Amino acid sequence: MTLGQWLPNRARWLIIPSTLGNGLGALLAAQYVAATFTFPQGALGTFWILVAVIGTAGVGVAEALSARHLRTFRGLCAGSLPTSDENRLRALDEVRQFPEHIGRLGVRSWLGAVVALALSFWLVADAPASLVVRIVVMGALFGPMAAVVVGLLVGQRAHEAVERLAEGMSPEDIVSSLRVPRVSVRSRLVLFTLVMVALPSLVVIDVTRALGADTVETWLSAPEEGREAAVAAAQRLVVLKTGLLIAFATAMATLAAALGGSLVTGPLQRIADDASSLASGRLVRAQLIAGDGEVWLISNVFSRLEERLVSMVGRLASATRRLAKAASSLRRASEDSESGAADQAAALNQTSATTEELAQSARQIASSAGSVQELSRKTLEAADSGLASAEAFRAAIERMRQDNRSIAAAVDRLTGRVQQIGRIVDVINTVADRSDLLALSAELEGTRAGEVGRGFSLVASEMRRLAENVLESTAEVEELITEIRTATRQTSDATERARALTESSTALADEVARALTSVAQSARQTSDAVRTISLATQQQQTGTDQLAEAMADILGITQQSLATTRQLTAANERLQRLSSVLAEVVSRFQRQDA
Amino acid sequence: MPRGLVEGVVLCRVGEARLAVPCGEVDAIAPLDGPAWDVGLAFGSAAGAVEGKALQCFGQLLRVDSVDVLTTPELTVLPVPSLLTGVADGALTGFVELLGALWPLVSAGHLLEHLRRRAEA
Repeated sequence: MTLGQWLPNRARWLIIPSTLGNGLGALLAAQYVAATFTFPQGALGTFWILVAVIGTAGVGVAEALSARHLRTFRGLCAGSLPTSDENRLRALDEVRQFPEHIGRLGVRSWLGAVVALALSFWLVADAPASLVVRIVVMGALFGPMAAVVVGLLVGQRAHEAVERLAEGMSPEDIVSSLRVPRVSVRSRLVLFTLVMVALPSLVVIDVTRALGADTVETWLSAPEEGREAAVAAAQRLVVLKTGLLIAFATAMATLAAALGGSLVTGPLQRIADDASSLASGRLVRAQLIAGDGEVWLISNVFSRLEERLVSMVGRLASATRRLAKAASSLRRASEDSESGAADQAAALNQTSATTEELAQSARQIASSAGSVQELSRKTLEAADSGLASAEAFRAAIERMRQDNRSIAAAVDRLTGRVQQIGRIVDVINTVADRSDLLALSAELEGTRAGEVGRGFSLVASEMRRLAENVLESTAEVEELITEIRTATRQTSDATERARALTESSTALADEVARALTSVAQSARQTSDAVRTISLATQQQQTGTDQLAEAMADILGITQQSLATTRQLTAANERLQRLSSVLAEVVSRFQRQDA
Repeated sequence: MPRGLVEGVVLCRVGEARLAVPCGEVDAIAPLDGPAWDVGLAFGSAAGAVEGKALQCFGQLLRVDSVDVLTTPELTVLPVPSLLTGVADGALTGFVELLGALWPLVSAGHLLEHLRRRAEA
């Protein structure tokens, strides 16, 4: 049943027990009146009429006054106020204090009613003063008893109403917003004892006194022979009235004791049950257990403790699940990390070796770069030297070409002279040939002339020999000329070839010069580049050495990390076992929503 | 001049061959600057030679490679063996011994006749 379904008419339901309690008190008071009061003749009816009137009026006034202490609760019950937490807290505070209020109000109502009854009866029935006083005393005796019973009855229902109003709310919030009750159980027990034990004793004493006085008066007023019987009858009446009164008082006290005990032990029993549930591991949602005085404090403390325990166990269970999950994840991560660290260590080992090789290579490169730089410098020098040689070579070629031109010109001139000589030799040869023929002819003529021409023939023969000598000489000259011509032709051919060679050599020298210039430029650029490379290589060597040292350091750290990771993995395994143990412990608390 | 002797000969060479012509049959020795009978044809040489010297004989020219005049007063002429009688239309008239060798002595007139016949043949 929800609060909204429970609330209607609960204000009346809460107040109704006051009618029962006051009715019991009134019944007991009536018995007391019947046992002890002696009314004037004809005044008994008036008395009961006044009792009925004033009692009814008193009940109405008491209910009206009590309703003032339940304004918020009545508004919730009537539906005129929303069932907000604030209204519920305010109504809960009203209901919690209502039994005390209605108890005090009952006492005052009883006193007011008996005073009003005494004055009215005195005014209307002209009652004696002693009777008026006894009426007031009667109110003083039975009013507190009725108020106690009313308070206990209303307290029973108030506890239920308080718990209903507190449903779904945090006991912590409720307790922190309510005032601490001022009345303790001890003071209640003292008051209860005084009211439910002392006052009935006084009543019994008074009844006994009154009935004893009636018995004595019966004995005195009865005739001599009838005294025994009258006294016996009076004693039976005393026993009857006293018994009834005691029975009523006892019943009322017992009822009050039972109610009071129930008000104390009920919450304690529920606290004990909840504690037992907690002890057995069953967690229920913390609810406020209504009580009075120290029981209220205990229930508050227990509810808060239970609430915090439930919350703590819930958080603990959640944390345990997260812890188990995290431990599992951590373990996997640790295993992965361990595997990764091992792989990383292996990779770093390889990387470190590679880095060392790289450093060694860098040193070799630096050394090679130095050698290359030296070679480049020598290449540059050789290129410069080659360029100078090429220039010298080209100058020599140029001179050679000029010499060749001179030689060619000289050869041409020589050829011309040789041709001239040849022509002269031809002329000489012709002349010599003619001379030879003439000499032959002369010799022939001389021979034909016989003895006379013999001398002529001898002269002609000598002339012919001279001509033949000339011809032989000219032949030799011609041979020389031929040789000279051959030599000059060969010289000319050689000069031409030399000219062509010098031309090609000049072109080649130009190409060589250009090539050497390019080589020198390239060598210079190469030298600069090699110098840059050498510097960069030296820097790289330094960096690589530092890298190798750093890699060695990293390798050491990684190995330490691997060892740490393994320790972490072991710790995670222990943590996982611990989380399992914790989960098993938490699982003993079974959450049960009420 | 008595038979068996000759006074003065012109020694000629044509290729590998040699011959002697009596000076009395040679009018002159001239340069080869006109048409001439090639003596080499009579000795088996090929025709076409254009150099040499010319012997002017009987108004005609005979071409030879070289010419020399021997002024010895008398030379003994060795007779022509009967086997060789009539060779070259009777141009061979004998042999003379000169310079350690035998030189065929040739009649210029018969040689011209022989060359003309060969040409006509």
